[in-house]
Amino acid sequence: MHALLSAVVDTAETVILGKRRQLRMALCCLLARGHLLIEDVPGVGKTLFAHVLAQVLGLKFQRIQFTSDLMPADILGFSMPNSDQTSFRFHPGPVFSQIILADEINRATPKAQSALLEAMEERQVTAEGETRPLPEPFFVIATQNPSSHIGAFHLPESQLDRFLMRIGMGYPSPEAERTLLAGLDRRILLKKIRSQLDTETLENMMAQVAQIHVAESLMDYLQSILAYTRIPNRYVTGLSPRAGLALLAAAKAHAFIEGRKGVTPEDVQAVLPAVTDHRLVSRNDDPQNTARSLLMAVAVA
Amino acid sequence: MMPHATIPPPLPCPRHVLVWGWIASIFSLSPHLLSMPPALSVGCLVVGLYWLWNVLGNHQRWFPGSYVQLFFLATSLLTIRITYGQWLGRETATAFLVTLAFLKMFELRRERDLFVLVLLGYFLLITQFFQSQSLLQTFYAIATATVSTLVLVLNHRSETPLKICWHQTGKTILQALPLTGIFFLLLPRLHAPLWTSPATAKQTITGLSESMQPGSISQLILSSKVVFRVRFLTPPPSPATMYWRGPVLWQLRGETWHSLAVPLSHPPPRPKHFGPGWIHEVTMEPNSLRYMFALEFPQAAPPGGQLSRDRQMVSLEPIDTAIRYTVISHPDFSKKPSFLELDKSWALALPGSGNARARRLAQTWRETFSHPEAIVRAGLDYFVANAFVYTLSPPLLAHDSIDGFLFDTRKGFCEHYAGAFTFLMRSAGVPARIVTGYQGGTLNPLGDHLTVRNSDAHAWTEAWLPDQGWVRIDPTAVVSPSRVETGIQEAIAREPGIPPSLNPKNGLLQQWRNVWDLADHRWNQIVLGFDAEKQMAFWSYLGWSQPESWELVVALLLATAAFPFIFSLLARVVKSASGSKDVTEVMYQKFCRKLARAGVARFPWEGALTFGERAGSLLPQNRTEILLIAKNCSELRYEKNTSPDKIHALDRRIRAFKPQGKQPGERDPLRAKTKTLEALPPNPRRGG
Repeated sequence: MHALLSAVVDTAETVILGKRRQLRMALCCLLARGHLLIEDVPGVGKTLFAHVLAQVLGLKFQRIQFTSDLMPADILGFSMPNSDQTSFRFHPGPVFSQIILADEINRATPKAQSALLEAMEERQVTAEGETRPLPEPFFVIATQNPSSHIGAFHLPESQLDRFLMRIGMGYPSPEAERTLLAGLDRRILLKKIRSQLDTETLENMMAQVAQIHVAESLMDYLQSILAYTRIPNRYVTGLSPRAGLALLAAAKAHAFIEGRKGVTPEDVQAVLPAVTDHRLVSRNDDPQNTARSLLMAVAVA
Repeated sequence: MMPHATIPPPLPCPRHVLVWGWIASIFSLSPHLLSMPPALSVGCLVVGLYWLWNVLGNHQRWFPGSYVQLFFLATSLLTIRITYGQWLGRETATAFLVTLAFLKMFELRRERDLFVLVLLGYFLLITQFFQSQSLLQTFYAIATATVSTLVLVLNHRSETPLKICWHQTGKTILQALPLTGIFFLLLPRLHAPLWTSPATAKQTITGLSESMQPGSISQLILSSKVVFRVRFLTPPPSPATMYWRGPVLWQLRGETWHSLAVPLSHPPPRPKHFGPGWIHEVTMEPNSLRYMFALEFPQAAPPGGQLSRDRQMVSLEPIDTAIRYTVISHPDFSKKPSFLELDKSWALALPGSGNARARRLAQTWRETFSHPEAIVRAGLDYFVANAFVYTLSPPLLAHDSIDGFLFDTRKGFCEHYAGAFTFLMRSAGVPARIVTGYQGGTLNPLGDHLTVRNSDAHAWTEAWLPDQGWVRIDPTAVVSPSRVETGIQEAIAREPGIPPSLNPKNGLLQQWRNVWDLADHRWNQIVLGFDAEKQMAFWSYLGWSQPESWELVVALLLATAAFPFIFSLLARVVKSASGSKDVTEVMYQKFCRKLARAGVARFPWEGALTFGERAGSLLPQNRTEILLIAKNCSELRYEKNTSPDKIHALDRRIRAFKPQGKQPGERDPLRAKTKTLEALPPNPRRGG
């Protein structure tokens, strides 16, 4: 595994216990210039996870708590008259930051949701006719409660698609939970974390990820996965070309994290569940096994 | 009252699937419609078209209730019963099935009903071969099977583009071809065809029959259906002397000549001396008749046939399948006269009255000439002297047609000449009879065989001369020598209304006909002619002498079972031959094979690293080696750091690699499999 990133994961693990795989996926997502959606019940550490990640990566962090009365201006920023009453000054919103935690994104109205999702896609904010670029890197971690919960505005498929990955946190293992219960307050531990990276290193890494080699045979494998999902009557809809790009980008990032120079089928298999989970609805399998049975059905080329 | 809109019930399948289903049904059913009772065919067509209209327009569909259906059923059953006059029989059963298939269109409510329709179509496809087994029919059957298969494919992949479905269908049909070949070579042949028994009356038979009236042959020559084909094993005679002998007609009743009800069963007198002989091989198309044709005069009947006293060759069984036989014929077969009194009385018999003018003319010859030969000459001279015309469309003759032809119209076809001449000879006291058959034929330069069609039908006379015996006299040849010398096409080329196939001017068409004729001939020879004997000969040639029927069946079953394996093996060989460019892949395959022999087979979805991990844990002695090789393989294949040195090193490593076999019971394969599933990443939302 890549030495620096290994240090990142190790440091983060001192606070969030037993979530090594989630950390790895989050790094994948970041390095692939994607955004991450964490979906799980309240209280499993979603917010802490985002905090720790920001801290350990040494990035500028902002948290936006989504509520039903949140307005787009609360996210993007707004213009106010200057004291001389002749001009307006733009007050940037919390979105002008490197890591955004959009907490409980499905609590807000679709209008507020789209404001963030547009910013995610465009990586810039246009307000009062002026376009302002967002800082780089720009990484959104959105959390949401499972949509069956009361008072939630379920994100539609087209907006789910803006997230490169969706992962869950899961309950901690008994050992991790014991440590959690017996140990110090996580908030205090959080403050002790020292950042392991800086913006420049991260940008450098992202550039390297884009250079990861993809063999012809791996392209074949990837395409047969996409083709398999498009066979009628298996899935509600097959994977889109954008999903294909996402899968490849995530696999490249994974290969980079693993310290490889090229993408292997194992990389694709490692990221595929997180990438396709919110994009693919099987007609036959239960949601838990969709990705797994997809992987089992496609031969490695 | 407000007319309330009725919502049509949902179609059981997507519309284009239904339309293709309809096309497939029409493909498989329409040949039967032509041979079914017309009323029933029309009814079926109406049902079919109504249904198509319904599907295309998505109209309110009408599902008849059980009483209406029963009514339809009873009506069609009754029609079938009245038309065929029997309940059992293959035409009856086929017609019934076709009717049921069309009625099924009324009840297409579910997907299942479409299957029933298509499968019924497959079955009816087979029944088409009751009627004909020609090459054309075979092509049609393949086309029908293809369209039916397409419907099944479409139904499964209704969202897939049609082109891909066609592709899939074509592949399926092509894959079935080797299997067809296996069945063809191995299915035991029966010595007698299975389906000869209930040939019902409705079949229209074209060919020479046991009677001849004015117009019957001129009708026959409009058909270009092939009767038989001949291959000469000795140099052939000139076309003018090629008389293919068929039914011999002895009796004149009214206007019609008939053959004897009971064939003259005594064998013809043995020849005293042979002239030069013509050995030829005749392949007859099935026609449900019993006449076997051969060049005049066959020396002996081939097996399965019988030679009667008037040298007719008759098959013991109706010719329901293509048959082939070899005959030796001699032109001057027997000149030693021996004449039975019975035959003589047959050969002189005339109706009591009628055609008085002809009788008077013959009477004058009888009085003038003493020798029968002179009478014959006088008869032929009469045709020449009185400017008779040879035409396909003679004027109609009412009563006393022979008189009318001889003295008034003087235009006629071969049956008129042969009939009138025989009548004259008998009236003049010369024993005579009519021989029908074929004259000439078309030489197919491609296949080097002679094709004789219905259009070559001919009739001539034989007269008994005391010191020569039966002598062939062809009055038509006197009137229109070209008929005999160059064939029917030249003789009637200027006639209006003749089919284009008879027109010799059409060079390209003629060439096409030759090609098709050859293909059809080969089909008859090779495929249809592959009978029990040929089958035995084939397998004996391959070193399996005299296989029993049950042995063939066992071999057939084995070959059919082995077919998928052979097929996939071939596919693999082809694939590996075409994909062998990637050296590392070949090496990796070798590595996988070695591990598979040691008891750890790679799952198709496993990448090299995952597989190496699993194999390493299952074969702990080789763990390090396996992991190293797997890592190298993965690097060489997916990461861009290949160098010849690395490849050679890996190759050597894999060659040297000898995995220790897995200990039996160490880990049962089922558990090993579940273990591997854990190698895949878990669901992201389950955490862990």
